[in-house]
Amino acid sequence: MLQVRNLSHRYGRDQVLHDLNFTVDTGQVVGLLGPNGAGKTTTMRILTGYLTPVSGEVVFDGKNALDNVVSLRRELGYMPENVPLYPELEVGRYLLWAAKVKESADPMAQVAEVMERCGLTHMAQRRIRHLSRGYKQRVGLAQALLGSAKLLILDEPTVGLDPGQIREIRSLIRELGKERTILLSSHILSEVELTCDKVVIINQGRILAQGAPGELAGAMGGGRFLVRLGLGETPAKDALQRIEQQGFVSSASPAPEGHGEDAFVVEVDRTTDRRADLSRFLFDQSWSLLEFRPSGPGLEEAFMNLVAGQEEAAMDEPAMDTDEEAA
Amino acid sequence: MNKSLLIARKDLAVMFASPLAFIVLGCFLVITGYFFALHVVAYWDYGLQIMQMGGMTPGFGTSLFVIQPFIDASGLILLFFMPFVTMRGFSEEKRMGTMEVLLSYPLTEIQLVSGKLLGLAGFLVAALALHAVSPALLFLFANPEPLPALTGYLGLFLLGLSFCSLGLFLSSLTERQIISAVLAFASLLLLWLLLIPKMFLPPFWGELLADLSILSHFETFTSGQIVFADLIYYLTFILGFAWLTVLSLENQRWRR
Repeated sequence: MLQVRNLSHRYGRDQVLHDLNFTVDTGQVVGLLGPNGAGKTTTMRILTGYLTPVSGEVVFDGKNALDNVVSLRRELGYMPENVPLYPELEVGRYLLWAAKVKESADPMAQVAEVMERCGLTHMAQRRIRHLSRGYKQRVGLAQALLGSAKLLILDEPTVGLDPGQIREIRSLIRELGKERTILLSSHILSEVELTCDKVVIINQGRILAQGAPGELAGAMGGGRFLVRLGLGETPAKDALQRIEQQGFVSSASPAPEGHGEDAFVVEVDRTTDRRADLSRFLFDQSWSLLEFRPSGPGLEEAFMNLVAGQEEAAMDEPAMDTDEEAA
Repeated sequence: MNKSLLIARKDLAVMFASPLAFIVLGCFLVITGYFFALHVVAYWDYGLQIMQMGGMTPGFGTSLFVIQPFIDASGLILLFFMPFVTMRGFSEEKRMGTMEVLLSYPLTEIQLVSGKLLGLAGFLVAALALHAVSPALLFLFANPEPLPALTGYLGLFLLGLSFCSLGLFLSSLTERQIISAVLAFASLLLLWLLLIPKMFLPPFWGELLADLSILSHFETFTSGQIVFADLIYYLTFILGFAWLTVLSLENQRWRR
């Protein structure tokens, strides 16, 4: 549905995006994950046509969206960060106005449906300035849903909300994801892990990795498993030795205290998925497999590794320049 | 419904939901009302003096002595108040962040600018309709000529809309309302003061500057005439600054 190709942008002399490439397929919920200042909002602003990139292409349904921004906007619903709204207007009045501007076929009926869906029906007469942060967020989502929005772009949809409100908005997004394509940005790992089918990790304007949350965790921070076994007569020491001897196992060690004597942390070759190999080997030994799960915090670890790795590389660059200058 | 009209309706709803619109409207009406009262009292005194001297002067009437100077003065007063209304235009949308939402809707820059200008025209019509109540009262008690009053109001509307167009353009350049208002006020004042150098500049340059002045083209309307050149001046001014606003918005997509 949406393809971003070699997208670059700069503010004055500051290059903020470097050759971004990613795709959002129909029906997917894609998360742009990155720390503050990573370039998420700039990317989203380009996708909505608010900004024109210095170079690169945005292809929406096979057409270059930057050539005809208005037709892209017909199929787009956008909620910027901090949800800017008109505080002077009443919720119902504002949404009806937005529905008409977004060329809804039956504005009244659509507004009623969207308000119902976002839990705003009882707030229709209330002025936006008198709403709580959570309700403002819902109004922002509601206006994005109006018209014939096939693609929803949500910039930090849960920022500033309390835990209860975050849960509500997340479940709304998950529900919306069943029928629409969603691109959301967040700097909260758990949010992306819980709501997205695909994650694009971005830092300092560069894409560091992309894929399904599980795949990324496996590829970058995973490859480490905790296994708890029923060893029978085999002593734990022997079992550990046998596991270590397998070619696909990089290392094996007793699990931290509290997991029992028959539990091990096994690190496998990360170039491919070795879970099947590992479980087959364990069964072949006639041991019972009592527990088998990834060890470590998953996507969070992958994210931190990537970001830290990029920052180290960035710190090394000026040092190299200095060496060259000295030479 | 036409999208420009939708933008205009939203802007009017937002404008009249805040006290600023009522304050500007109230102050404009009080000050112009004060001028109207002064002109009526002056007319009354002058009329008594003429009667005491034993006769009527040809041309002496409320049109020439009350309505025309009242509309003339109102043009200048409008110059002081319109920047407070136009400063909201795009500056407020940018400051609040709603500009980003607006530009994610299927709207062209032309629809956006014409909608904003229509909204301001709506405010202007409301202000002038209330402003016209005082001269309308004169029609109950005297026999002013209706045509100069009508052309005067047409001139006042075109003048006000020119202020709006320039103010809207300046508001598209900044997200700070106060900067937008100060720039609009200074530019309008400068366009008014272009009349003054006529007194000491060589005739060609003096005439040229006077022709550029926004208020010099207004006088013909208040005297009951519609001069084609003046009409073209205002239309060019309004459309010219509206076009510049469109260009400014398009340009900002590249340099935001």
